Amino acid sequence: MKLNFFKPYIPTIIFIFILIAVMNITYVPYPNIIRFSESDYPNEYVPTMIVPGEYLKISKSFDKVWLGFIELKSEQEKIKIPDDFSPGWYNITLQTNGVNTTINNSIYITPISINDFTFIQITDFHTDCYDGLDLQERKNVFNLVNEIGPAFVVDTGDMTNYGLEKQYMYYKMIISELEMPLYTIPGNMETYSDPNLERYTHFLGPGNYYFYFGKILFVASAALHSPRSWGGFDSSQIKWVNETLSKDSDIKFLLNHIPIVAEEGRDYNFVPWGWKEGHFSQIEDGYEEIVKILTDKKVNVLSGHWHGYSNKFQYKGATFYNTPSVTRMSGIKEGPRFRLFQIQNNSIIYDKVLDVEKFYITHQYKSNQTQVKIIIRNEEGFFVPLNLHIKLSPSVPSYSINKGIIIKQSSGDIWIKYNAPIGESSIEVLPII
Amino acid sequence: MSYIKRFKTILHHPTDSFQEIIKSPSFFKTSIIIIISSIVYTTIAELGMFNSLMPHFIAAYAIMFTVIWFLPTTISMIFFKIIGKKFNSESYIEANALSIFSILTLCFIFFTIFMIYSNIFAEPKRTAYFAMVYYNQWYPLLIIGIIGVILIFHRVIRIGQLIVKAKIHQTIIIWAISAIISIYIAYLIFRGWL
Repeated sequence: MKLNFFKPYIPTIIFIFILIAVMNITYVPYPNIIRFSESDYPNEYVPTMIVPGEYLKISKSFDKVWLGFIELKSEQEKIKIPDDFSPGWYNITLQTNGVNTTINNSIYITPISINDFTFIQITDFHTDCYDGLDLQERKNVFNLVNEIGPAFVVDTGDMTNYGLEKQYMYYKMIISELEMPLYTIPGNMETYSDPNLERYTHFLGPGNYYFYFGKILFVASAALHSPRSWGGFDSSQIKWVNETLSKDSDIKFLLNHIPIVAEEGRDYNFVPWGWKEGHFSQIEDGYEEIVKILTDKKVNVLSGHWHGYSNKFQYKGATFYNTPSVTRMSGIKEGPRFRLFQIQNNSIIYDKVLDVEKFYITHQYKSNQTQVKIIIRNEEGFFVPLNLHIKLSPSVPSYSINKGIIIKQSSGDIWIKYNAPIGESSIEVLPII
Repeated sequence: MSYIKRFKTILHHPTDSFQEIIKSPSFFKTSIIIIISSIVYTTIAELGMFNSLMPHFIAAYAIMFTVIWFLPTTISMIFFKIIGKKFNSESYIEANALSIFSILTLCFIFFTIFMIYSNIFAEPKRTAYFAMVYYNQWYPLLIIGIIGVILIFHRVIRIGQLIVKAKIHQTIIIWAISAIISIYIAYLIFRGWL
């Protein structure tokens, strides 16, 4: 009698249990456990940035070292980069016991001062499966990034829509035009079709690593619960983050796609377990431990994930930046956006979110590339610090400008530091005869 | 009337289907048809949404699809029992499941057309998820959804009259409460897990 009562409901109940089981089986709580330590540098995935005249530390043992084709002298695992080294990408070749090992594009000689530089955080790029206007819009974003000329770019995840191979190929095609180093971490979207982030690792490298610009430390962390939009830190991830953030530095940044601390929960607001001590967090496991590390070390945390959300939230000494997406968002008027930081003498003096559709730079070249007029239209509502990279004819030994400061000249390549005011402004670069 | 007749009349003459269900309830058979359809729908939706099949999301969307009809039906049945209504539970669940499922099928057909358009004919081409979430193309689906909710409410009120013998206002209140609870649980699955 009792069995007969339940009989009609058996298929539905079994179905629900099967679905829950499938969700549990396909759930990967902690994907991509690749974590780089000191002995992994230099490597082709996380380029080392260095300024001419500074020392490059190499933790691998070697007898001789070449940067490009130039042999450099080593001094106790360090090599000094000559002052006259041209900015750009270099392969490093290490000779050990007569065997040469070349690591391609692992060193970037930057033209920008470590005491006064800008960098850009882009996030939630969401490259789709199709070529066309959407892809062109994303190319335009990196074209503008090249024009603004930050020292480097960090991408805090969701660079693809579902982590498909074609999406990575389009993303790689777009970023190949970027002049400066790009550091990426995976977001939840990368885990959708690739729960263990094998495809991400193949295309973009490790999810957990660190890098320096001068004395500023950046730690990239892939604390994801694949394929969910929530994240978490297991004990080994917490240990790695703590050890890496303990490295000697003047300012510390943590890159993590999922917001660790935020003022509000956006469309997750009504999930009760997201609320912790009056603020919201999408970190489920290891929340208390990671927040203690971040607040104790006064870390600046860069996140994305919430697309339309732009916020800077200070909590117990740590600062949590949530940056809006490059991809457009239904119901939001702004175009693709990213955050520009300026650091001067080890202090963050500028952090603004730029709308790509409110900032334009055009170049008018004249006289066989020996003169250029750069026209800047700034509708952002605030000034924008630029490091313009101009390529002029190397036949002219030296150039002058009517505005800004030339920070470096190297055979036709000129880097100009200029704060673009609100409205239209222009800079003229002329040969010195 | 054969078993299959209840499916044939559910969209244009739902009362005929409900009468048939009252005479010979068979939720076991109906639920198997709904389950198989759910798997087919979520698999197709997954392809159109992401251009890829991901087991976790097929299962998650199938749960959402099931929660949408199973939860409010079960919760409203419990409420009706609490207020002292005596009726056949199997008939009630089958009639509601069939009503909601038929409307969801219509919405799914529209969604499939949207997915085909978005992935093949639109310029620029976009996966359905991309078009809806990032490029404001969710309005047609919202309109279909609103029409679907109105049609579902019309049918649950008829079921309240025919099977439960409840007054219209009792059905509206109980279904409103059941829907709110179910929507919140669906929200917790969607935002709290995914």
